[in-house]
Amino acid sequence: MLEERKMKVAVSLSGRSMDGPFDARFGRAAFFGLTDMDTGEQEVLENPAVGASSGAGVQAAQSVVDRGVQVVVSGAFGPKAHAVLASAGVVMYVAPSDRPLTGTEVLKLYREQGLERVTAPTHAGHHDHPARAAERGRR
Amino acid sequence: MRVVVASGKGGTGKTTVATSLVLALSEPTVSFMDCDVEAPNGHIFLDPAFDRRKEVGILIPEVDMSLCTHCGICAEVCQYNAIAVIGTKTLVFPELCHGCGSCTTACPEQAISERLDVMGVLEGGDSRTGVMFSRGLLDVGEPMAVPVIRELKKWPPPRVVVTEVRDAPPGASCPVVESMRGADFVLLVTEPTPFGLHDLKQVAQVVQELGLPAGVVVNRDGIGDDEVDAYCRERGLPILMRIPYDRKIGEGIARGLPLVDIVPAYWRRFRDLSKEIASRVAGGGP
Ligand code: SF4
Ligand code: SF4
Repeated sequence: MLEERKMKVAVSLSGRSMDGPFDARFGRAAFFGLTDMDTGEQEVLENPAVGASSGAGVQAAQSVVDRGVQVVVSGAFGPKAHAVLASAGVVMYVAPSDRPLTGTEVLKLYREQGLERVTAPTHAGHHDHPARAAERGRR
Repeated sequence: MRVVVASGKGGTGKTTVATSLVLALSEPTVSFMDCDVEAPNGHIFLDPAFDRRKEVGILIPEVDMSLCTHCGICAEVCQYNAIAVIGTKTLVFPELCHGCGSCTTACPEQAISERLDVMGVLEGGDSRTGVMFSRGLLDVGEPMAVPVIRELKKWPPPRVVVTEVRDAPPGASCPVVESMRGADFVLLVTEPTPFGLHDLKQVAQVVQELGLPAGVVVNRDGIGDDEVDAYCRERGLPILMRIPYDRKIGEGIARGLPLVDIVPAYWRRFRDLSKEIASRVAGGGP
């Protein structure tokens, strides 16, 4: 059973470890490092959307929401990922991109409230058009 | 017989060739289909009187929230990730949807109905010389040309079609593939220049992947080098026609005149070309 106050934070990662590099992309990050802020428990979730031909942001958002995440830290959120996360009440933050950071460092910044909160998509979607154009008929 | 006229890039004379072929035949059983739905221009040369029109697009899901149990099955089956189910919300992203219908079929509650998301329009009518003319027009800003081309190909013609000529969009991407699918022969229009050759190779590759017989028309013959000839020889692509470079032709086309009207000798040449294509299709060989 999930407790009421339980707080889970997801950080987008390019490697399988929180000590590996932070990935500034959300939909296309290879992994998400999940941290339970109450117990300190951590796990790494593979992003099922990493190879998606379309809608990576939607699928990635769905997968972190399904894991009960309430906070996501990444580098950017497109309009669709933002819509899915916002409708789940997930709070989104972006980490600074001026220097390479590890997942653990990003989490530390989150704890210290050193991250910028986002309340709107950070960029226009970029995957829809090629994806739609890539369609070759009803197979 | 279905012939597609294609070209690796715009401005090579693709539409000139396609419309001339149709004009040279000019019978009521001939159909011209402008598949260049982003920039159709066949009408300039064929002058159709449009009397048919149909809005087309894809069927996108609409969820009836009073029936939806938020089971998430629709989101799972959608290979384009166009649906997310978040708690008690089911979100559809129409701009990701390809209208495949999987979610509608999979929903255990029959909570999904479909509505037409209009992407463009089809228009049809007889041309000045009495051939069936049809074209698709993609709405401005709409990224997906393929569904409109697919609907254009499916649009029932008003009469029996013996010869169908499709003017493909330029390039070698998916709309070109869709235009070629189901055809019997592809006529590749190119120029004898390094750029022409580069683009020819790309579109020839698509034709090969589709396994269709093809032939080449060299337009503005004489302006470049022999590389296109060498390539065609090497690949076994027959050069079926050469249209020599001629300023008079360029000027006439700029004024919206079909090639066969600018140089009447082309009437015969295009009739012969059509016979040649027909015999190649019947022969089954390249
Ligand atoms: S499959 Fe049907 S019932 Fe289940 S979430 Fe989707 S729309 Fe709702
Ligand atoms: S119709 Fe197909 S592409 Fe569109 S939402 Fe349903 S499953 Fe996804």
